[in-house]
Amino acid sequence: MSFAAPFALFALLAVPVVLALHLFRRRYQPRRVAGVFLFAPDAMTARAGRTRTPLVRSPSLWLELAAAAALALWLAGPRLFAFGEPTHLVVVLDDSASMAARGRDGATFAERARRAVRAAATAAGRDAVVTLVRSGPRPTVWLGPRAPMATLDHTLAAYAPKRTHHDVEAALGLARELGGRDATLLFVTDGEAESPPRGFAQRSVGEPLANAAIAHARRVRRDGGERLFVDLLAFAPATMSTELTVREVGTDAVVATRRVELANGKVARFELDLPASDAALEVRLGEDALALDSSCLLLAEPVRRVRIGVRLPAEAARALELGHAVRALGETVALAVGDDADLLVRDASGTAAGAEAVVEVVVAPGAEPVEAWVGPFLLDKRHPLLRGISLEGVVWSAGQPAAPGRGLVFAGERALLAEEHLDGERLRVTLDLAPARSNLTTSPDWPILLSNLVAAARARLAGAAQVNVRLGDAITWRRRRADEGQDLRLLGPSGAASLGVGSRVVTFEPVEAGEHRLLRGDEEQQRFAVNFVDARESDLRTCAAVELAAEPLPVADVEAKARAEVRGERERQALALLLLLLVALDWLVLAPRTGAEARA
Amino acid sequence: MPVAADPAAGLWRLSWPRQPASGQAGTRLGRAAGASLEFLDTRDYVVGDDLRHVDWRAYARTDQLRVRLFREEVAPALDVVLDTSASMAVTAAKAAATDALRAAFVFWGERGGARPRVYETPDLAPRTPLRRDGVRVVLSDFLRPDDPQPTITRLATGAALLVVVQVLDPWELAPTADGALALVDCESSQRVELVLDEAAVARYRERLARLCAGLVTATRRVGGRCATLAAAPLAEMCRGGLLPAAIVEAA
Repeated sequence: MSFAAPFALFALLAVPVVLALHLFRRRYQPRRVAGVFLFAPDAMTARAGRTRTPLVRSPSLWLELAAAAALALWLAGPRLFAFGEPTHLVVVLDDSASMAARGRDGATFAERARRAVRAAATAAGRDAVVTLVRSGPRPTVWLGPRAPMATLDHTLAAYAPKRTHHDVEAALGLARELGGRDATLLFVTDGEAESPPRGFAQRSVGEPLANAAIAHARRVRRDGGERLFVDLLAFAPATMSTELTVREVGTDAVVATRRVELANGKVARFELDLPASDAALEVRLGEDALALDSSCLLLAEPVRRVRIGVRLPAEAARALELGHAVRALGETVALAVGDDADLLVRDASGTAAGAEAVVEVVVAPGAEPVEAWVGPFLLDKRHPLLRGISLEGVVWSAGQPAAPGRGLVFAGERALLAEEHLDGERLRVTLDLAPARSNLTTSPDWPILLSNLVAAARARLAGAAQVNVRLGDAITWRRRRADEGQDLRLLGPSGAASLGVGSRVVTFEPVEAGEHRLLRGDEEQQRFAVNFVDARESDLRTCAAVELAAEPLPVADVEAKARAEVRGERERQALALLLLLLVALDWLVLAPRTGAEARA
Repeated sequence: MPVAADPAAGLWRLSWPRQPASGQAGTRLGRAAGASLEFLDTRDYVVGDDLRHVDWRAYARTDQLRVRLFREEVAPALDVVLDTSASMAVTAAKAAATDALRAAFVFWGERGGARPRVYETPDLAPRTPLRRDGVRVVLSDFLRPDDPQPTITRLATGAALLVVVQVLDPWELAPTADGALALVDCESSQRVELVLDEAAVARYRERLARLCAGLVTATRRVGGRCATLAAAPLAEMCRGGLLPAAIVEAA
């Protein structure tokens, strides 16, 4: 025996309730009298709680107990026979953001999708079971597998599509696996199609709509102020006119507003010079079909200044021209005081003891005999430290021995520049170079190399590398050494919290757009702005309303399906009849008593 | 000679009023002049007067013809107004007592030559008019929430004497503390759930006493007689209720 809605068995709690009612029922002996008005002032007026009285095993008690049990069983939808497998409806819901678009009738595609799923559920029958699969980069089983149909509405109410563009094939495959052979498969989306996915019926609930979107937005500190870059994109049959507004979050002050005309499919770039501010900015477009891509939150990016420490003899430091390089890098670097350096440059005879540097550059002129190379040099061009470096015209002199570690620059088989990863985190770069006999430090490649080293050090600084991210990208947070082992939570705008992955570098994958807060315990560490930017989801021109039936099933499957549609109905009908009979009998049992009381 | 249905009725008779009544010729003295032997008054002779009634002695003294008048002898009417509402049959004892009293009053009326007539009415408002100057007996429990005075006054209007007999079941007079009861009014079907304990009984008896006192007061205001009876055998009701109220006397 199985049940279509096993949760309804909780209704069996009505049985003890009936017992309790009978146990605590105050039994009044009926008596017909003349002149009741003389007793009326003493009528019961809820004086005290009722007390337990001996249980009278009356026919009414048994009938009411049986009726309560029958009602619970009827609600639970029992099936007594082997062929009583319920209809299994497997629905794949497109969770991409375009489903949040609002149609011309005022209803969103998501609302239409809910109606479509409910209609399919109704057609499947009350006893059917349902599985909801939500599409996404990693599809998820949202309801079920094989959940009672009664739970469908509650789950559907929470359907708020907001994911970036993704391939739905993974979700369809998952649905096929969950459905097996007999399930009814339904794919609810908004796109046009000529044929449904294999085995699925498809219901497209969209319609072609014009839409403007923010394709890119960035704020950059520049010359004491800020410059805001905004790329806009329109998907419309004709030129779209909308308004671009920039507001300061918190004060709600309008920083800039501009009327824009957007040509179909062409990116329109706007640059706005703004005063420097640490306040968050909101970039917003006028109202259109899809609200999700019409606003963008931009937080002020934190300044991640790299402190450079030098432990070289004065002559060697001058030969390396470090001062010039640091000045060229501007405000993003600073010379460190004492051991407080993120990037330490030292010679081979010194040590890094006491320093907390995340990148260590060892300049090792080496011992005699010193060799010199004019090329060709073999470079690992994909390595970030060598990005933009060509070493053309460079004379490189180096002594013995060769640089330890993984070689990045070679002259023949001799490694001139090598890297070593210490503790899995810190980077040691050994520069096998005799500056006095080389022209590397005066070549254009030298500041580029130093800049790459600074970038490597900056990438290893604690905190967030980026606070404005796109939905679909990961948020990374590098812990300080002292913070390792403490739990970090990312709190989304909806209040949903997610735990990060990783020990030193913690990664979060936000699933909704909006402002997120990174918390360590209850202490806020950083705020992040997650913005929805996805041109493929913003393009609603190809949305359509289509209804495609699944490919016909083999005859045997159709018959099995027909049997499945009536299964469980016989039991329910019998229980309904039994329930009515019990209620009628109870009424017949009680009616004479009531009549007698009236006559008494 | 009428025969009583209950032998006990034969031991008692209705106590008729001292005030002369009117009615058809009968055996009791009336208020008007008639042909009895009891002297009433004298008046001047007018043509047609019976010469046998001329007071010849007065004529001898005064030379004026005076005629002597005597009281008439009448048979006063007895109207029994019987409450036939459902409350009068709420218990078998009450119904039996009512029937016994009805039969007894009819018997006493017939034996007194009063030509008794019974008016059955559920609301103490007979459809046919009651006879004037007769004795009226009202049999009811008077268990009504309204003031009995208007009813009593209406029934007493035009009557020589109003006799009110309130018949109650013994439980109505002295209910017992029976615990949780659902009391259903036999007439209005009003349902009252209560716990009938000693205190509730005491309060009920207090209210009933006020009701009965009101009934007595209303009856006395119209010069009537009133008795409250617990349903019982007729002899017991006569001895314990009707006799003390001067409604009956020993035959």
